[in-house]
Amino acid sequence: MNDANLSDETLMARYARGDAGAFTALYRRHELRIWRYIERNVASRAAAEELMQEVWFAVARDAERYRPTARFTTWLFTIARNRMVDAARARRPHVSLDALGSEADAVVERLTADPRASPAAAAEARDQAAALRQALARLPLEQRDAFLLQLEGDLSVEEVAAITRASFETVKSRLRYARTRLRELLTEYA
Amino acid sequence: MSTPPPFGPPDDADEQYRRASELDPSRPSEATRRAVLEHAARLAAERARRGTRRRWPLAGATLRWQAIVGTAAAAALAGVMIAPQFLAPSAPSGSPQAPAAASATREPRQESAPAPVESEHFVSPAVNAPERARIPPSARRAPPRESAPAAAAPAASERSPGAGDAPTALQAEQRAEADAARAPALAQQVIVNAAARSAAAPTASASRAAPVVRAAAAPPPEQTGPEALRHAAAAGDLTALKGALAGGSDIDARDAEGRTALMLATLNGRADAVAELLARGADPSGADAHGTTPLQAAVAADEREIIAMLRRYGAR
Repeated sequence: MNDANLSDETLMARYARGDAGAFTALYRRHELRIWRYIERNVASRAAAEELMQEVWFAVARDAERYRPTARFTTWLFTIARNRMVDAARARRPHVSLDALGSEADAVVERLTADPRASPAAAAEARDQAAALRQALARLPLEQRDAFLLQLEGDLSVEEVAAITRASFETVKSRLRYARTRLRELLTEYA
Repeated sequence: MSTPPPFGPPDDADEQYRRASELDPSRPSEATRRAVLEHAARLAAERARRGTRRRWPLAGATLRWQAIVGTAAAAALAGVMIAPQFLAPSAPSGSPQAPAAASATREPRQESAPAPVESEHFVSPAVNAPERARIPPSARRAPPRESAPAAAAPAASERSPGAGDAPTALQAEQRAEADAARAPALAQQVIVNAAARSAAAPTASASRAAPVVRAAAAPPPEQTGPEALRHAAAAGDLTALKGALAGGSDIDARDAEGRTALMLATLNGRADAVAELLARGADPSGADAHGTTPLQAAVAADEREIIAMLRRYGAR
């Protein structure tokens, strides 16, 4: 059966029974969204890499306990957010990925240049991605968090409220302010 | 307006965000992706193996069921045989079940010394030979507890009957003296049990009451595993470690000082063993009896690779 056609919840159930391929399908499906949510919320790439691993390790470890009472993405982004909060609270020193023999730096360089794109197009893409990051970085933390949860997690206001433990109205307000501010900032960086 | 804004219409922040995101080449590193998928695959293999082991042995389930039935039958028979001792006419007023219940709950703790003799007590051959024949050898031969690992079995088996039973009988007698002041019937029962053990402990049929209780509380077969697991972890012996885990050892079992296999691997700087244990779901923050966690131990020893691994698994 083609894993691409299965729901997240079905894939999780299959993984919990020992189907590694189901996890791979899940990971590939959500890798980029979780990565963007984390990377755009934390200061350094090394920290983002570390959190990325922690989140997916937790998904793998807790697969047997997962119950599809909520959407998988809600659960996934809840884990990601909790990990980020824990890391911020602990203010732990980042273990350098270089020290772990990681190829992180090389990957960064490689990724910032799409070989299929012309040098000019690659440069423009880099600029726009950088502008987006700067704009996001200037949003207040709560607004950025709510905005990224909704956009990357494809979550409803209710789901964002549940994850952030804020009221529906508060989240709505945060999202409205975030959009207004982001619009201004992106225009400013243009 | 001389140049259009690169992010499109300014009134659609979501659309601007999505378009800019599409252009963002940032991705997690290949190392991260590989680590995640390898970790997940290891856990999946472990789960698949556990699932197979649970589903496959219908025959094993039947044998277990026979063992349970046999044990219950032996318990019932022995209960009938010893009941007259508890129903002495001099018993005081009160619940007649109370002393028996108290005895039943104490018996397993009394018999702390593992020994071949004890395993012979599992089901009295004189009482229930047919049932005994149906019970699998693994159940009949109660394995030694952690304090007597398989490697020390010969010495332990020579030492245990005497060494184990003497204090047990003494404790039982002391308790019998104390109980005698409170309840004559209880005293009578305990003294009978203690006398039976102290007089003829090595013989299989000396006590009919105690063996049945022990049979019900027979230790699970994996009790020999944790020590082997910890030893393998401390030595960094991955083959032995995997073997112990495959044998069903509790990955977070602790030694007398509260140290888990993960802690011992950490203390000995066995990064490979630490990685294996974490990948298989060991508690990354399991503290020892002094409250020291593996992360603290790794930091103290400046084991950077282990520190990084523990942190990745959320160790505190």
